[in-house]
Amino acid sequence: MNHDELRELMDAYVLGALSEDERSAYETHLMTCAECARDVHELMRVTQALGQLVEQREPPADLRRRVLEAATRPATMVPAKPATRWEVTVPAWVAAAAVIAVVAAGLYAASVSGNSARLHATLQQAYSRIAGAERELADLREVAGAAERARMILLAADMSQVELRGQSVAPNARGRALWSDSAGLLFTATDLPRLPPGKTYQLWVVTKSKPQSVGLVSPDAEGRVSLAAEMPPGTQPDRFALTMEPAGGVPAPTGSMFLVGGI
Amino acid sequence: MQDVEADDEACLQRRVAGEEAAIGLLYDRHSRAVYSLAWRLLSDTGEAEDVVQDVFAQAWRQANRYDPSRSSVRGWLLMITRARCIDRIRARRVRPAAGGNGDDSRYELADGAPSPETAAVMGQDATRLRDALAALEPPQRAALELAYYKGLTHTEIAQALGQPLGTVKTRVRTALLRLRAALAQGR
Repeated sequence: MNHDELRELMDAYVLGALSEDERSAYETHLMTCAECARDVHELMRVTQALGQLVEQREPPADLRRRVLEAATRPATMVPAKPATRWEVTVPAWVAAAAVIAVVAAGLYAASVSGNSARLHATLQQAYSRIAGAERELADLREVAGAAERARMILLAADMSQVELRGQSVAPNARGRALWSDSAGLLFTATDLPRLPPGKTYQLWVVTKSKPQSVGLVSPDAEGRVSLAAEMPPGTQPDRFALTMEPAGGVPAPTGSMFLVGGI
Repeated sequence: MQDVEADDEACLQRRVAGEEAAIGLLYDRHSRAVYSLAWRLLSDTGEAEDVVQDVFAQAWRQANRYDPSRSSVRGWLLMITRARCIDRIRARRVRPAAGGNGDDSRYELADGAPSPETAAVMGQDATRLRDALAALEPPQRAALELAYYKGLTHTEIAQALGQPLGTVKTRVRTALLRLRAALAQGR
């Protein structure tokens, strides 16, 4: 798409009328085009002001309590039942880390309730489960470092989560990025197409400045990847993207995007 | 050992209490604006309440992404509100809901002066914009309002109004530029 065509999309972008793919592509353009970014900034002032023109209505009184509870509830990371195949067949060490996540959520809930006996019991449970998970992981020495990072990320109070969607080259692919500013990034994905020879997948974190490379991954026979990596503190991701690049990786993205997801 | 545990619990409880106080303040200041926009876009009180919940939860999780140079806090919250409402509008088209319980028919702005509550919420920008919106030619205003207050795409507006797509795009663009100019006058 040339620049004229991209400028055509500006109104629709500002009005929220672009599809997910179009919006991703357009925001990527904004990262590198100061002119469009400035114009979009101006138009956003219009849309914000339009939002304040509507007739004001008082929300119901009980909504306040519900909002406070919802906003302070910790993010739950393990679904009540596995909804799709990829939830069930993630790599063993990620599954073990997920057990820790459930326990961590229980810890938080127990501490908030102020019941110290329950807190004590939950802590004991947590230690034995972590010990059990660690025994499993002890066999996989090469992922021990990754598992430790995974555990730190899942227990971090500032953990955030983003789902990545397969783009047109891989519509069935799915990804998930979990990260905490203090502990790092955990990325998993499924249903990625097999890599042609001489190619690799490269994960990028897109922030206010240029995309930064996080690392390289190759899918296993079932198209799954996982990666645990450090992120420089204060990174503030806008979006994650997985592209296909020449083997060995590249300093800036050049290849097709396979997975994209943003906050 | 008991003391340490009690202290730890107290710390966590204080963190939660502190968070609730801060979110409560944000809610008290901005919930009406968020709810009003959500109701206007969705015409359903239940959905509007859900959106309010989603917006404050998202804003709280992503507070570190708020950039004061881009918008006021309220402007940021309303942007999130609109995005969440548009998600629901799009989902409705795929799975039509049982039907809203609000007034869906009018998409024009209310005539006459805004109510005191509305006037209190509107800043200078909004007042200037309201005048500029009223001054738009009706076809441009209609196109913009369908885009903004109904969340329709250009193609959907063209279908709704029975106009060519190119005409709709031009009208939306002209409306946005006029409104932008009206806001810029104040700077």
